Amino acid sequence: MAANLQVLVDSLDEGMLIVSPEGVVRLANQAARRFFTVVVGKRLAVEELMVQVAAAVRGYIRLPFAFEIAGPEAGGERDRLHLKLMESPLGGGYLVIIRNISEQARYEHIISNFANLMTVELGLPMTTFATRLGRLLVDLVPDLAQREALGDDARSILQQGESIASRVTQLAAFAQLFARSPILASERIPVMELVAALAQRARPLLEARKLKLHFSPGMQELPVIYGSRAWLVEALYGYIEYMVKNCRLRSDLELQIRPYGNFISLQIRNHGRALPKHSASAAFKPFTQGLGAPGEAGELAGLGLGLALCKQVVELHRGSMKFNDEDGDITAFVLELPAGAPAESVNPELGAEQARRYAEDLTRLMQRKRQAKPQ
Amino acid sequence: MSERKVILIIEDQSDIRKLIRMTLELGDSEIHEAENGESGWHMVKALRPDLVLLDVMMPGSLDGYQVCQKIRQEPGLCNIPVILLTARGQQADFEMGRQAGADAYLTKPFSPLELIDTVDSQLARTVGAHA
Repeated sequence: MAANLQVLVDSLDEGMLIVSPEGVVRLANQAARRFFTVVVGKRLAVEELMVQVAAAVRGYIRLPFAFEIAGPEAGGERDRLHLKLMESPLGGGYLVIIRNISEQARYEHIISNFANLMTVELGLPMTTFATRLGRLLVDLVPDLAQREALGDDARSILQQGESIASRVTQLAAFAQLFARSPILASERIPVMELVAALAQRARPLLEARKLKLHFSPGMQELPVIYGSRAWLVEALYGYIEYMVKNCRLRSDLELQIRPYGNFISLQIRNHGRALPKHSASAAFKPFTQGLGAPGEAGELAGLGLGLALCKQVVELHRGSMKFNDEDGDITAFVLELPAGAPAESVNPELGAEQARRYAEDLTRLMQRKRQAKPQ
Repeated sequence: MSERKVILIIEDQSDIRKLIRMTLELGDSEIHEAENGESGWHMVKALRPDLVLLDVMMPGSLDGYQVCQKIRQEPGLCNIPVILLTARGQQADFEMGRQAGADAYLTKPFSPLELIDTVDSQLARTVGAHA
């Protein structure tokens, strides 16, 4: 086997094996060797895999074929492995791709535990916490004129304070959402109000990067949204922050909002580095950083929570958020929120109460009807 | 003999629509229904009803306040009495309804007697205005 091929397969994170129809190993990468004891030229002693190879040889299974097995024991535990068996593109036989799915589950547990810890430690809803932090900063430097009068060091400290406050607020929001706290508010929010609140919140961020935010025309005619104003502003801020950080300095951001059936479609397009399609789903994972464009000196790195939070909040409002891969050289995510109130928004208790009120008054209603009848 | 009054119910909850229809059919009214703001607005223009019962929170591109505003802005329709139906009933909601141009407000759960009295008083008001 060519040495450069071995270098190539060794660079893969997933395990990879090529076995003959008899189960003899022809090629194995380093990741596969972490899962199984492998000797090239010898039959692989992983019986659950060998059973499937034999089934493929006899035509009992259709390839590619995915299945799960228990990994080798380590520290008293056995990880679950996801295997995909397919025809080998290299010299016949079968190719096996191996992925440790327990690692993914562990990651999700860690995130969940962290979220629960944050919720317990803070003991406050995100909105209360964010309001208090905001008030503290305003108390420190009440207006813009005072900020301008500050020396460079003081202004830099203040800027970093705001940055830290923003991140702590994001963490609080993350904890509340990922610990499965529901969003209960159903405020009536005209889209223009939401955009205005968002523009105000994002102003320092845009100014720091010397960016301009352009709005699509016709937003006055848009429907209203029902949900939590505070959460939606927080979510959209996370989205805009992500797009700002991946945008070239002194360039433009475009905010497009339009009705789309019973939804409102919202898209921010930047002109920075295009996000590769394969990275798009990872961008929604908590604590995943974007590609990032060079920022101002002293700027703190983000937490990688913006898009994850945004997606979660949007989904809790019965909307969706996805990567738009139609735009070749720019990064664009499309966010859709349902227009108007959620369908069947009246709760069942209210329905039962309404029925009770009717049952109580129906007799009186019939009496009144009889009395009103001409004799 | 008085003319039958045409009443349009715009409400996304089918159970509530049925209750309202059942109640108002005890009188001599012609009842029509729409299940969202858009179809409701089209029916207002097509039917020119004598009264509209309008739910505030509905899915889709027009909620109750927006339908009410459209009725008030349309010459020929702007005098139709509009009664808003809502599960909210906070002072801010009443104020928003007033700003949208609603004539009356019923908070869910409402009684059938309350419904009939409110509808009758709004219809009588328009009869009085036209007399």
